[in-house]
Amino acid sequence: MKKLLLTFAVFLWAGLQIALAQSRPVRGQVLDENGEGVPGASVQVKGTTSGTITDVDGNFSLDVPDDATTLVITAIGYGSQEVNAGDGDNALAVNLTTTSTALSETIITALGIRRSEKSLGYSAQKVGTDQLENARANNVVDALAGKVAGVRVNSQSGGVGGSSKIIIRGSSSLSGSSQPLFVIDGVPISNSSQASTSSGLSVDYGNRAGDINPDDIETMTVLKGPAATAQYGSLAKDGAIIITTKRGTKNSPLSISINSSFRVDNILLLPSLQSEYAQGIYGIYNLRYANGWGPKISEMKNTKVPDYLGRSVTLQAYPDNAKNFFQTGNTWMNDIAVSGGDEKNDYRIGFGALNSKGIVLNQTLKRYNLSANIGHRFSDKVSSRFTFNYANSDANGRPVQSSNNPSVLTSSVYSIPVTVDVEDLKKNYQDEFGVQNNLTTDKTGNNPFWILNKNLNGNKLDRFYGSAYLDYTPTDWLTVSNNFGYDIYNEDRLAVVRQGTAGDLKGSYAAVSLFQQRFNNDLMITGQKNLNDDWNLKVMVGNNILDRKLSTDQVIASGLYQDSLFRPANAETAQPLQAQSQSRLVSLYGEISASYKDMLYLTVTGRNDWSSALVYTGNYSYFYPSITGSFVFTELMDRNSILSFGKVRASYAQVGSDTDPYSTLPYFNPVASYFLQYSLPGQFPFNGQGAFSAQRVLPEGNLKPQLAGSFEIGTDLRFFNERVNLDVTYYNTKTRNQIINLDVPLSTGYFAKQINAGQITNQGIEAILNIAALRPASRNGFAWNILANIAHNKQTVDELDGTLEYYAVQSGWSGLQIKAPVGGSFALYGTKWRRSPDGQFVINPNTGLREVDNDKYLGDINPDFMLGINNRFSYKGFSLGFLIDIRQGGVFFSGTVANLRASGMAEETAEYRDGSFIDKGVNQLADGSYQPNETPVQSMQDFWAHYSSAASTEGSVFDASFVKLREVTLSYAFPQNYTPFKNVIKGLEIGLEARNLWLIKSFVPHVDPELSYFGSGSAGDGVEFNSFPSTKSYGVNLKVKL
Amino acid sequence: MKKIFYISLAILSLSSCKKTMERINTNPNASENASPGLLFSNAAVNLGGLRAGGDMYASLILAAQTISSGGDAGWGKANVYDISIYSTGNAWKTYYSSTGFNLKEAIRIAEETTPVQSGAAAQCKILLAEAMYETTVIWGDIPYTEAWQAKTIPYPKFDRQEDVLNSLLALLDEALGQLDDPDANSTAITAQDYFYSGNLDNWRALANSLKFRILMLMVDKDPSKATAIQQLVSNGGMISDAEQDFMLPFNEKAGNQNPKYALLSQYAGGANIFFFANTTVLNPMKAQNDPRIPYYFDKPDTIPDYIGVLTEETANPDVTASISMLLYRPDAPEVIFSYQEQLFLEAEAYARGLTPGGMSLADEKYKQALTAACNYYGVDSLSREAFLASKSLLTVTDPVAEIHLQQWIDLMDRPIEAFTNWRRSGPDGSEVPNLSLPLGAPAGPLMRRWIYPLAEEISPNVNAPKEGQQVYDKMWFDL
Repeated sequence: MKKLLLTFAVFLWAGLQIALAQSRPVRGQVLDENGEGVPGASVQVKGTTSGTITDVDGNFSLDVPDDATTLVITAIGYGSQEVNAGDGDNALAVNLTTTSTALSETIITALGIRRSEKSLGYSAQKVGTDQLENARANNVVDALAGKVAGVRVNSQSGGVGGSSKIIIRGSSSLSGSSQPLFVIDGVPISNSSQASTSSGLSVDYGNRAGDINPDDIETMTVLKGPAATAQYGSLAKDGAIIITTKRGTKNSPLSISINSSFRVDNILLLPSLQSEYAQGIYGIYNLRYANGWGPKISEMKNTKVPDYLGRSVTLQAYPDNAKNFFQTGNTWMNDIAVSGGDEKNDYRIGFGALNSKGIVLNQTLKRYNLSANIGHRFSDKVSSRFTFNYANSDANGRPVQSSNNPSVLTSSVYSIPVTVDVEDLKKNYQDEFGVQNNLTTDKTGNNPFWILNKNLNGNKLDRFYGSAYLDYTPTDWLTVSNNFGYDIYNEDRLAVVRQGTAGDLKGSYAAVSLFQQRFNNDLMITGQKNLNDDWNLKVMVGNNILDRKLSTDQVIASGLYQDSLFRPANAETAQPLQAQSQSRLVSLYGEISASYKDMLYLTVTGRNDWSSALVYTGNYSYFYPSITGSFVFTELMDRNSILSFGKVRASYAQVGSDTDPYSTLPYFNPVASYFLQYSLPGQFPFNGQGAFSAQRVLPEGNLKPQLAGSFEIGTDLRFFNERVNLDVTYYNTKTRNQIINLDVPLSTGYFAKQINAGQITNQGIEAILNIAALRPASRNGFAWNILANIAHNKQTVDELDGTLEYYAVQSGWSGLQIKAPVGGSFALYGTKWRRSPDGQFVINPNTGLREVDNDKYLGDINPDFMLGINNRFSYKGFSLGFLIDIRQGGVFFSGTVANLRASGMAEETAEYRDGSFIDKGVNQLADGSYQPNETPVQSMQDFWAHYSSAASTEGSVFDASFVKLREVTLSYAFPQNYTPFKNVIKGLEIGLEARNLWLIKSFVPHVDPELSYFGSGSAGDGVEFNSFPSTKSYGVNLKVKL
Repeated sequence: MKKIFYISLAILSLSSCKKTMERINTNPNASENASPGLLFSNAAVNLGGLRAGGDMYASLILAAQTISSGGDAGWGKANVYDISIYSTGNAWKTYYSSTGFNLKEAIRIAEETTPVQSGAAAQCKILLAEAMYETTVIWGDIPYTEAWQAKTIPYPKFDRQEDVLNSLLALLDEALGQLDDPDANSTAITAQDYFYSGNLDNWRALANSLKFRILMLMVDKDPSKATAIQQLVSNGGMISDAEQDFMLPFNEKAGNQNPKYALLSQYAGGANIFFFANTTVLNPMKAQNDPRIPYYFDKPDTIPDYIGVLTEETANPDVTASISMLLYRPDAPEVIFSYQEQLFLEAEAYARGLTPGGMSLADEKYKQALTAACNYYGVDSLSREAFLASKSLLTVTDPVAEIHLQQWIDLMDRPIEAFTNWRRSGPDGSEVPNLSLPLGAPAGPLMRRWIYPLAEEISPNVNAPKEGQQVYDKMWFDL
């Protein structure tokens, strides 16, 4: 750490030297044909990367090196122009003329290769700083929501630092993760969201991409399919997110930028609860139940009953309990970066701090990021770049989700009886001796404030990642480069249950230490030559070595002797688990690309992998190719103002991938514990003896690598001088030989068997429409830009193992399953209401309750389409943007809704309690005919218990469509002349920002339809069980450039 | 020449590369081998843990009605047939995977070793027969002949219960054959044999007793089994001493404690506030002045008499007797087959004329059984003899029913055996004792089985019966 600070100081000093000694200031204004200022024009010192951007009035000021003579001015929609830099005494005036330039924007593609956008044979979408710096998300993954066509983002929970899952072009995988590869500055980093193996604990510990500081990101490019990612091989079978971090500008003085945000977070959606009925059973007050099935409060006016503390009270409703339970959370995000450079060096050092407080007590996240990006040119032929990132995070109070654990929070919050005052409960969660005051007399009737104050789950992380890059250009056409990358982290998790917790009176804890290490090395030799004026040829060969090590060291201990001490020696039983794994992938790859004029581009690639995980199979080495092409057809047309640019592109690619290490051979595992329900400790040695277990997954000795083949065709059309840009892509990806662990009947002895199975097709259409609806006619003009993206994906399971009709993607709760049926897509299955031939509910004539049928299709979990519409208005220095995110189609199962109803807490359960209720439907008679149902339900408690029970899935399944106002930003950039302390402050922008602001339309009652039980490590989706509620946030943002 | 050099260099580096990769892909977490004893250890402890734990004990015992939950005061809702699918799934998982498959692998390893470890193989087979007996009495038709052959049979068919039981008899005979092998003693599992420490005579007796119990289950439906019963009884060689009780010993050490105690310890600070005396057991015991009552039950000090409740009747902890902490002590063993159980079965065989000997021999066995049962709980000899003096099969109108009632009392704390014995104790409506539907249970007949687990077996097995079942559907043996 000391060393780092020292380095930091040295660079600061160096930067100041550059600023003081070697440059002169130049200022000026860039004007259009009408003499109006052109905002956002780039002003660059020729021959360097040093430069600036004009402000809203077209003004710029720039420190240029003493020996610089020429500035290059460029702006979108205008030609580029070179002007004399002058001596700095007089302001420059630069006049630009409109042209229709074929776009010359570049994009970072696989292996960090920068290409011009027009040469791409596949769709790749870039998200720039401007889209990331405003309304910043804590987790970079969230920042992509609604911004990229074909990309779907799901947060697992609203808890601070919760994990976010990203799906590009639908799930291609039957099991496990379909997460894209994250590549930072050429280094593939881990985005794991490793689940703890501790039994019964479902805690969302976040995904590792959440360690990245969004403020360090210059651009994110989303590579969506195999065509784009073939060169990354196996890891990127589900796409890749290529992140380039910010770096300093050569030949520019030291500059300091500060970006500060403060935000408050509130629960997005509170459930609507009834406030008429107390706790109890069938209308009778009973302290055993935390629910709303007791007597009507208004009818208990003259009765005294004991409350949870044994006090004799008259019942009274506290209708704002749920609201009062949650607090206002807040988040500070502070970033400071120092950057600059001279002729040989550039540097940027950034420091970011994120401090977040959740919407419930004791939920905190602290994250600190330190980053350095330093480039150095040794000579004309040799240059280097070094990047370094350190992330430290410390989260506490992470919520436990799902069920069967004494610390599950959501279900206990939403079942606080309306007659119990939350404020009172909060004050009295323990007595004067520290003994819990239970909420109910049930064996698991924990006071939720006991859970919040005592049973905390936290994790601490230290992570280093970065790269060392060196390139050597012996001649002008040949480059040899090597990029070594590393990503090392250690994460310590601790989940505790304190003594006195109902359900685990003696207390327990699970401590997990996870270590992950990745080394990645790419060696590339690239030759590029213009064969003649028209033809350019580029040949590249490379070698990649990726080595991954993982280790887990965990202790699950129960029966603590001394409260609050979480060490194995303090526990009656402590089960240790240690596991280590290593895998290595060695690859050779090559690429040949040719281009003809600025019109035709063709690229062929090939990659051969050798995977350690497959070394014992006959398929240790495997090869996969790709071919992509692009044709700018407008080059053949006369320049016209209607279609200013047009290209078509096509590609075909394959990506192979391997499996987990050690999974292809049979083994026997030593076991430290035997299973006992209700989380009781069962430990080996038993009576002094150990035990072994046969493998639970049957390995396939001749496992083949999984292969994804993708065909993609698209077009990029720009009309009316690029005022209207349309990019459309059709793709068809077939994933074959999927390596899955197929659930087998337990009567085989195994839980699952490893197979190469099936084929899944994902095909779809993506369109991106960018409209400059109003272009500023003058410098003070009003501009309106619309960026819309829409994506439709259709997933089909073409084949499994030949015998099976479906594959259970996720299962394990009362008949509710996510299945992949042959001929269909991933769908929710469960019990469905039985219906008569004319579609009426069949009702049991004895009970008045609906009959159910097991194992029925309840709906597709995937949306029909996703639509994101981003509007941006600007006027002078003001800028207003808002992003609307729309999902259409798919179904969603909410366990929270089921609980709210079954416990008589939901608003709708208050109806009909006084009278009788006859469910609308028919009874089936013995002869098979139907007659209208006239049997009333015995009680509404029975009705809702049945309606929302685990055995009646359909009652809690809803349409997952929604319309959300995802982001709103309003900012004002001060014109330079009006900036306070303008000699010091070179840029000042203030803004208001809001995220996840408004659920405009939803079909799910009580909860956010975007909640998810499944983290990014699972192929499951569309199901929520007591998930922590999601939040909305709004705040202010201040950006200062010094 | 140069070319050859480069090519061989390339091959060399590639092959050394492959060696490195093989080294990398060597599993540091698991072993390629395991001894039959270590696998047997896992199988045995998981079986005992299931039988005494929350999935099986706490749910089946309430539904079987030997113990009461005390309504809202007690544990769970299993007494009204609300049995968690996790419990049925976990039980299935234990029988087929943790216990069944580990035993199958142990048998395979024992039989593939030279010389064949016949002792170990036989021990594993006997325990497997017990596990599968339990599986079939809970679910009826189950996969057996095609189970545990994942490589060749991905979807095992469900065998009829009759065939399963006959196969288990054959499996026990196979084990008995292996026990006669001269190498048996030297190849037996000893350290991990928590039951008999490698004493194969005891295993031989157990195998015969298990056969006897299976035959007694089958004989009502298949009277031809009487021949085999007669043969077994006349040959002897079954469990003949309390020392031979087949039970998994738990101990005081946390993690090795009886799960019943662990449950109370974790949820109730070590006191029994969940499980109460059911009148179905307590009342007949009171009627016969049974000296076992204070060993079976604890009562509040302030109450003079032991008072039970109906299966789902609300208990009053200040009044109602609860199941004793003697039964729920941390080192209480999990009994799987007892000497008194053997004697009651023999008494029943004589009393029913399944084997010659008549009622006097039946009465002798009946009294021996009651003696063994009293001894098991440590009833002093004076009280025991006073109790026995009042008991005789020769004076009761229905001796067989009397035996069944005593079996019911004896098996109070062993739900699988109690539930099974009750079902075979008489045709529908004439079981001993006569039970009625617990208050709050869904309208319909009494429970007679568990529902197959959907996720663990029915869904992934294309050969599984897909039609829905009801808890009151009878299985083959149940008349």
